[in-house]
Amino acid sequence: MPVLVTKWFGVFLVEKGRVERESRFPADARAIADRLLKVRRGDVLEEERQLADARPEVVEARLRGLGDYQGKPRFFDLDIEEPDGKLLHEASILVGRDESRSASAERDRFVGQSVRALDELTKTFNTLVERVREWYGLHFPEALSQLTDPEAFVDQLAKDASREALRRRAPKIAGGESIGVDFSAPQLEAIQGFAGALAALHAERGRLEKLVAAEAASVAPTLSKVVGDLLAAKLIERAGSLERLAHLPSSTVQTLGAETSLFQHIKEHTKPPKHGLLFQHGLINTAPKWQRGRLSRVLAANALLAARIDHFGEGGVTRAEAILARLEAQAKRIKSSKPRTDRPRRNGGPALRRAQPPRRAVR
Amino acid sequence: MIPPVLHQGGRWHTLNLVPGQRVYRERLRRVQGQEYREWSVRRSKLAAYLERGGRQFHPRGDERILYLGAASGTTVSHVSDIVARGRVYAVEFSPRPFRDLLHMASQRPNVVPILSDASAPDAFAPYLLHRVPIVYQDIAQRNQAQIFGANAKRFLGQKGLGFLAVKARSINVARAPRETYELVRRDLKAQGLEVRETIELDPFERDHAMIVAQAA
Repeated sequence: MPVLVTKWFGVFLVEKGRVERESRFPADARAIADRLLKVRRGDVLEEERQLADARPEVVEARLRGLGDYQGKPRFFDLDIEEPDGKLLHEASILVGRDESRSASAERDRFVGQSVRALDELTKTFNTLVERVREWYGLHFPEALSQLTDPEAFVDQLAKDASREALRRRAPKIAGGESIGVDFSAPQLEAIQGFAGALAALHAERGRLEKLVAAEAASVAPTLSKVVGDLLAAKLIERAGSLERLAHLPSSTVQTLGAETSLFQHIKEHTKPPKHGLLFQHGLINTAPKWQRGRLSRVLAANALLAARIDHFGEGGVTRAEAILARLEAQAKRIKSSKPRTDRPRRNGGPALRRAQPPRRAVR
Repeated sequence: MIPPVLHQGGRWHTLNLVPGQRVYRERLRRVQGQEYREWSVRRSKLAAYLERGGRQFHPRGDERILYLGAASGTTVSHVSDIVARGRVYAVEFSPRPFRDLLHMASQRPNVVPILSDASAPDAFAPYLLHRVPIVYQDIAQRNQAQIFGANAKRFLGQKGLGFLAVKARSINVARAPRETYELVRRDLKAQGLEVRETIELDPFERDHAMIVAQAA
């Protein structure tokens, strides 16, 4: 039986190692690139259809509809001249450009980058707030303990950094003379300017957070409903994409974001992590410590279910309610359980057995 | 003939295919009227392999090489210098480094960039007309030996050489790297390849080794 073989410059019908019939692509980089792109999308080419009139053997799953597919991929060395390599080079660049573009067009890449931007912005903001508090503390240390909210603090400093203004804002600040040193006008201005930049950073953080939440809710609506918009976005970022997240095992989702402690567990036999990113979910971080492992396990399972619906399903959030109900039922059972009392407690719960070394993989 | 690979002053170099052009920030040197690009043993596992005494990589210069796991194309660019009259099929799956690879390839007529999963050879089989004499693979995957075997079986010609950069930590973090190399060698043998060389790349790449295998 003849075999249908597709190469970058044409389609060939091969019988006993010899090319019987062929249909070459136009000798033009764009025309070749278009065909290669089609092949990569899993489409059947016009040229392939033409040569397949006698239902030949095919060697790619993509061409299953055209002939006899044995499921065994094979490679063919064709005994023919290859056209100028320049053509292949140019076509491959064109294909690469197109695919590169569509890869970065994927919405979950945007989610990933914006989550990272948000995380870094938060971290930076916190570091800088610490700095401005210490700095201003030289001048007016009494104010620090009364203005603990970082946003309110930088807002006030940005507007007016004088002691009088802060006293008006927070009358509880201890009266009398401050034990801080006096700042000159330029010194106060410097702090005020710095605080102004921080206030702007904080406003930007708020905007970004809203955007991340909205993106997550549109890319993964079910997952967002089940674990919340922000956490959904973070899970997608950690996994790399919604597709990858949907393909992970539940146990991996459970510890996503706790890689350091997971690998320490594998290498040094410390206790395994109960949760990674999922800790940020209210169900976990408000539960007593000894319940968190089990709660995190069921949360991971349900979150993954939701992610799979979002990735493989038709879209929409119709299944979210059902998953939430399931999660709630499972969580309820765990929450009503009592801590084990047959072993001495630690951390308000029963001590774990000393972590067992992981079993060696048998190969 | 001008040698494409030059070891001079304790450093490796390749004959620049595109004189005057740098790919990353490598140093350019003129030797006997020819421009060479410095090839850092810390940035390229193939250079580290040569530095550590590997003897199996000596292309004539007109070979076609299937390169799996091209990343952003640092090593690929040097391979492209070496097989100046040949061709490098550079396969990379991750879109971010592929962007850089694409940029590099657009300056080098003998590089064919392919955005594809090395474990799905159907996707890039149409790019190759014949089997190739050299398959090079550098992918940090747990099943890297199986992927390599599948590709060697399909694309490596008679007596062709396969270069497999093994990252022991990707296969098993807990096991001693040497045990991992041994397992990989066994895997390759089971897939009908003959192991010719194992070169550990420490200290240039920790817990990496280059395993060279030959097809029957």
